[in-house]
Amino acid sequence: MTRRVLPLLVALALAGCNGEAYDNNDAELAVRQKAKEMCSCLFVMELTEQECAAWTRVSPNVAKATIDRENQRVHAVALGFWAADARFDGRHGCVHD
Amino acid sequence: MQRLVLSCCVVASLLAAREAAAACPVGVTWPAADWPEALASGPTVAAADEYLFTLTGRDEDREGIRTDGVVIVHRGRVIYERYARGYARHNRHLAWSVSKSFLNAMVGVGVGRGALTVDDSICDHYDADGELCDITVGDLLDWGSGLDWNEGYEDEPYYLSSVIAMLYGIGSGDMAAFVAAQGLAETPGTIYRYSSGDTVLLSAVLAGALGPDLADDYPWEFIFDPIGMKSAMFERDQVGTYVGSSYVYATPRDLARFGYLFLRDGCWDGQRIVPEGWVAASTQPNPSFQMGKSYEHFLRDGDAVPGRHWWLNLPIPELAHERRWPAAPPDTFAGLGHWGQTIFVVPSADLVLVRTADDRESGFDQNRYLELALTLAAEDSP
Repeated sequence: MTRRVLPLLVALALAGCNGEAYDNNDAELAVRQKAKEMCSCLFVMELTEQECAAWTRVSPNVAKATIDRENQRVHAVALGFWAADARFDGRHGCVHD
Repeated sequence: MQRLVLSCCVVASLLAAREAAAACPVGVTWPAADWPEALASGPTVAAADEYLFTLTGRDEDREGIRTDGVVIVHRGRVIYERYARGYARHNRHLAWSVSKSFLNAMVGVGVGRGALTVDDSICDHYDADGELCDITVGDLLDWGSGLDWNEGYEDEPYYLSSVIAMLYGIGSGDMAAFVAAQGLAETPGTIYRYSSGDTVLLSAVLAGALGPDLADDYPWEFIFDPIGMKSAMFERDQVGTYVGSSYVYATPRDLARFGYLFLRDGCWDGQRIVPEGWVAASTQPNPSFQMGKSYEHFLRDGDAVPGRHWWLNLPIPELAHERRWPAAPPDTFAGLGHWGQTIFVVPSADLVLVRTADDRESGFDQNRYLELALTLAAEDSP
């Protein structure tokens, strides 16, 4: 139970950090950054997963990526609440879905 | 009245640049399928290796100098080339804001084809209205739109940053629309404020001017293909606008081709790619900057002088501002990007420098790097 509630509490705390300028919280930004930049790192820059994990690490480091190499897609999740996807599109690199 | 003054400045600047520009250079080396090589050796190479490629902190802590690749081209030949940290010659690298200088070139080609002019209102080519119609193409090239914008990165709360909201947040679907929705904070053309938003809006304006037949292909048709940048990729947002602020990728050797295009005044292999006078007009202090309202900010930050999507090494004596890179000649100009991405062009030394990196700190000394490169060039026998 604790394992399920804690991420949600953290997420809500992060969500409460926004509001002064743009309607984004850090977890939401982190998950979209992870999906897009991990996709670009793997399929445009053609680095390894380990190198791309280092390249795309941000603070807070809450987003985790799942890589679909066959379809050249990246799915990222943060705190079990936010998710984002990006796909490779040839010479146009990667774009959020 | 302000618009009239600015318009006259723009016209005078372009006319002066046009007079100064020569025909395409002859008797110079052009890379064909790949760059010719005349690789240097000796103590300066060793000094460059040591300065550029010695990791000075723990890699996992992202400290110190973290160079990924360097290509130095002198008189059309590669004289120095190194890669590190998992990168090799074939790897594309994200150019970050060096991409802005690419968009400058693409706008230049669009102007040369008569699709738009620097004095056009953005409303001539983009679906905006009201006060935004006072913004011209030239204002966007100057980062002088006056649009409200916070160009903050990792060093301040993410939710305050306009550029992070644009790339990853609420603005990431249609980035140009997000930029336009910020509204004016200043009268267009009266103040320089560095803005990735201006560049993305410029990208949408260019696409509108070119029309649907060219909107998808213009980066390749205008620049990448003519100069042989086979590795180039250029990412778009979800509505198809090229993210001209940030998302050009290419190998360092291909990035050097772009620097070489500007070294050769916008010509490639004897053919004019960028209109005559465009390079010269882009590498003068931009008109919005010259209005003077941003001087205090400029002096505080110790920036290079802003041209039109390029950065200049010019002194400004009336501000007691010395050159940003004192080791380099005053005609040096650069495309500069986040985390240490750079293309330096030094016309008087016939030199192009490309560095890709992952500098998460600001410790890299660009002046030292230029000093080493200029020494390598001086030692390069004819």
